[in-house]
Amino acid sequence: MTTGRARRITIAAGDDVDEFLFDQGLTDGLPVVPPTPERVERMLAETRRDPLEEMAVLPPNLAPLTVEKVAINAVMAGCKPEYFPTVLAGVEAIADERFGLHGVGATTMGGSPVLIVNGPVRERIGVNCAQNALGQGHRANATIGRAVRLVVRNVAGHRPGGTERATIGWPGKYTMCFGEWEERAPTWRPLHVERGFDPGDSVITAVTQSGGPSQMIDESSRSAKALAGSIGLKVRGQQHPRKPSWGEVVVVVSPEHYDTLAADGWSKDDLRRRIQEVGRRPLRDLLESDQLGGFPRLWLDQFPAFLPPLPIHDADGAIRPDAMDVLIPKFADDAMINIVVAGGGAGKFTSIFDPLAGMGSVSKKIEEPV
Amino acid sequence: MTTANPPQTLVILDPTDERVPVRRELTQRPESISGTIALLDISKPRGDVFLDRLEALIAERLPGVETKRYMKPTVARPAPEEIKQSIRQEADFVIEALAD
Repeated sequence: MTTGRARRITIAAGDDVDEFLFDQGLTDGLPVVPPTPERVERMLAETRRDPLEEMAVLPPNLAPLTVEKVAINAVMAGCKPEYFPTVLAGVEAIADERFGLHGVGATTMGGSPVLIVNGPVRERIGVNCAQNALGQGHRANATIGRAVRLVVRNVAGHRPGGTERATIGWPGKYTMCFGEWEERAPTWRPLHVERGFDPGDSVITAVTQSGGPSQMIDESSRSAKALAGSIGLKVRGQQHPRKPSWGEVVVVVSPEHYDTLAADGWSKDDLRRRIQEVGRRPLRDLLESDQLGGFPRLWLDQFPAFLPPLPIHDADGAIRPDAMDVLIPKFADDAMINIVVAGGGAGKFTSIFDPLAGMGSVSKKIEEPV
Repeated sequence: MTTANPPQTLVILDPTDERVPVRRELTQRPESISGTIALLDISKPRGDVFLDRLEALIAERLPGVETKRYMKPTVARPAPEEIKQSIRQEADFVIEALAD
């Protein structure tokens, strides 16, 4: 019946199917839906793409990834067939060279994609972008993110203790997918539009993060400047409050926080500028000492994006005073700050993920329904 | 309860890449060290501290053995093919410095 070519595995009568799948190491630690040929076929019926199309070669296994393999893992994750085009686009995003999947899995920091969905597909398949958007309880959010992670595990070959070397890890490594509540923030450009897509396009964006989200509570600020200052302070604390970030960050602004920012006419770019303004500190306040860790002295020679003017040392080997006054930004570029609106209508919170070094976010358009 | 149906087998599709990893033999270890040792810094802080010390120890204990330094452009990605080829062509041994 199936038009694919995946190996068929027969589970003996009397054998426990769920236990079999655990025993084979095919799950993320939670039970999966057995990927029968019929279920996989229903998943494949939601795309025009050939099941045998080789979409990518994923590290570290470097085996060809076919549309069929994605469908099998989407079934296991618990996806409805109509989620499949979104899963395919999510997999394309993490397979993109810019995403750097090899390093995302190998690093001890523990990278995993945060997947953000924009456009009409949110409504069509029920991606939650409102109350508890980053939490449990919504099938599309839970299973689309999980399907991408299962592809990473089963096809790319990332296994904790194998090539995957996360020291502590984080729950986002099971799944992390949500929608941007574009309609609730009408004066802001949605993430996909900022990235050059049409507002009517459905798009999924993958940003590698290493932990979080961590929630910032500000129920008292009434001006955009004050609130954005609070958000900036919280963002400055990510990874290390006295170190520049090596990677992009995802900032999730609640609708009520959006209202405060929008009431003063602030855009996403205004918020980015304020985050950078608050995060910027002179080198003398950041440099590591025997009292506090911080900007490593070794970085003075290794991280050009953040470097003070060279040479930074005077003839005695001391750091020049004018170098100590150089303002070090939290992010080398404002574009490293990804801002989206999501969450319930009540509550003055902003949630921030932990960046990961050196990886690039990638957006991919989601195929229209068959 | 009436008699249960006899248990049936279930067919599922393999979600993995279906590739059995190729077993690779380790290169034969030489009896002695001669020629050139590549010292590869993966661009992590303090990798140079480790390799500087190693280089000094090699110079002290293995006179006549040359060392040559290489550096990955970023820790976040695998070494570019050019660096791997250079090491292959120019060195007989390689020591890679992880760090932090």
